[in-house]
Amino acid sequence: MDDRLSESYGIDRRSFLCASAAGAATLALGLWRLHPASAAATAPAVSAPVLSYDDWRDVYREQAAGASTRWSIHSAWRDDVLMLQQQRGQPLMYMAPQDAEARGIRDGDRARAFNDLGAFIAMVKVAPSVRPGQLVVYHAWENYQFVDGKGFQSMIPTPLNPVELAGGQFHLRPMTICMQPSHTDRDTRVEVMSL
Amino acid sequence: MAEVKRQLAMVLDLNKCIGCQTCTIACKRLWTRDEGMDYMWWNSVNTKPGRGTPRDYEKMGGGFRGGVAVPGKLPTRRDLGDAWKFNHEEVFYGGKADRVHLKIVGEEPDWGPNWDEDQGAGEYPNAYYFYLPRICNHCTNPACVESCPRKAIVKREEDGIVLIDEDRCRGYRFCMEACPYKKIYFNHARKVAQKCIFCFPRIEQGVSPACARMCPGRLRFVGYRDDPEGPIAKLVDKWKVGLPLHPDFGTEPNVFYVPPLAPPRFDENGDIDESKPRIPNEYLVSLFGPRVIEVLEILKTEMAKARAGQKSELMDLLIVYRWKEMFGGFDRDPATIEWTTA
Repeated sequence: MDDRLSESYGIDRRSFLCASAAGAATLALGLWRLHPASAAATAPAVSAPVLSYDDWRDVYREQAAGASTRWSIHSAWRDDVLMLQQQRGQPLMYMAPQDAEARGIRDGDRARAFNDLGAFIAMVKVAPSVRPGQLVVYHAWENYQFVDGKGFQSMIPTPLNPVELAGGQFHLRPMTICMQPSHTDRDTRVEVMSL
Repeated sequence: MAEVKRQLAMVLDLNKCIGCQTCTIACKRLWTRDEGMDYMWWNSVNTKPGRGTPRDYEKMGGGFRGGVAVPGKLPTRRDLGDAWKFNHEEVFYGGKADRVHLKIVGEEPDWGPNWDEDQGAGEYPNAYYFYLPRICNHCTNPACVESCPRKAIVKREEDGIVLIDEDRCRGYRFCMEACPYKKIYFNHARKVAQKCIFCFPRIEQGVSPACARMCPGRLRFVGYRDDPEGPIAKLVDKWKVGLPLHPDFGTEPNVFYVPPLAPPRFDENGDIDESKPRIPNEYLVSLFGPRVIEVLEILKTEMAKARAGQKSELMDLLIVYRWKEMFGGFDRDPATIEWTTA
């Protein structure tokens, strides 16, 4: 897959590989959508097509929403000891009390959020201001703050913007930090289970 | 009751606080980085409704009722949220890749200095909360001063700042039981009590306290209570929109709050419902006393005047068009000070 991309797009293989494993999986999926013809020959092993959004809605009942942090500037200071002490020291997902109760989750429990694309483990904060059916994950937690390095981004289905693969332009090029979505808008549905 | 010549005070406009913790970090980085101070947060910002820091401090007693001292409970390090350590070294340099992740070292906490942030109360879509920054209130009737058998705590005559003399202190901790706001901390390494000093070394150089100066929300006013041109007299005595927190604790605090207006409620159809307030009146009264309802009306009236294009001195004061005017004369830039070692 890497060689094919290098040929087609003339991009630097090193910077491409800097993306996290999770980001690469998302990238592969996205590219598969863009190039169905070559996918058959060289696509990574995906055992079944990704469910459509409508199918997802029944299976994955929480709509994930990203939010911008006020405890950091993106991921800068996201792992700062003083700021972590002003939260709970670890990645959090905010759930409505009804949703948490229905899943047997109490405030402070760890839970796994998952869908077809990936899963991550985080502590749950039960908050009445969260809309039932919504899961809020503030953005920019570093992957190394999650168990197994599997962060929130691994579940976001938004494919890579192909503009990021354009070669030869300073302002349009693949960059390490641009290979992964940091928030989700409305495209990610997950289910959450108590650990 | 301590007699002072002048009293420094602070007014915090809770309508502007976004809970960013800049004040908390400013104070922490400036004052509480030494041995034994790791768990101290002389400035703390908590979400209300919420249990606060230390956990459930409002039920720990202290202060006065009917002029008589109320017995108080000593807050523990755990109640205050402890001071977690993390395994950055192991994650960054341990060579263990994804087999290790950043986490708190040692026992899993069930409380922190701001554990219940953004939870609040109510039911969607009418859930509510606001942020409440707190420091030592440098009270006019300080329970801590009265409680110390060694008279190690004094209230300065020249400006009303309450200070612990760390040379006289023997670490009895009666002051920690006596303070109803639980804003005194014990330094386990040095065996003395410590607390907010109202940045008196800065004050003496004409610089406002760090928590106030660093606040990006421009919500913390500083000044002498008796200065008629300063923001304190205008907000607390002239407009009377600055209220003490828990006047029922009996210590006459000198940190005042402009209470928070709330967004409107929504009814079942999603329409705006102004028949009831979003933050229940009883809750605000329990924090700030019965005048809080009247104060919210004053705020609304003046906001309406400003919207209609009329002049409102109160809105001009609270909007803070000119940042330096917030500090009642303590507007000097600390970078202009040349500190010398004595």
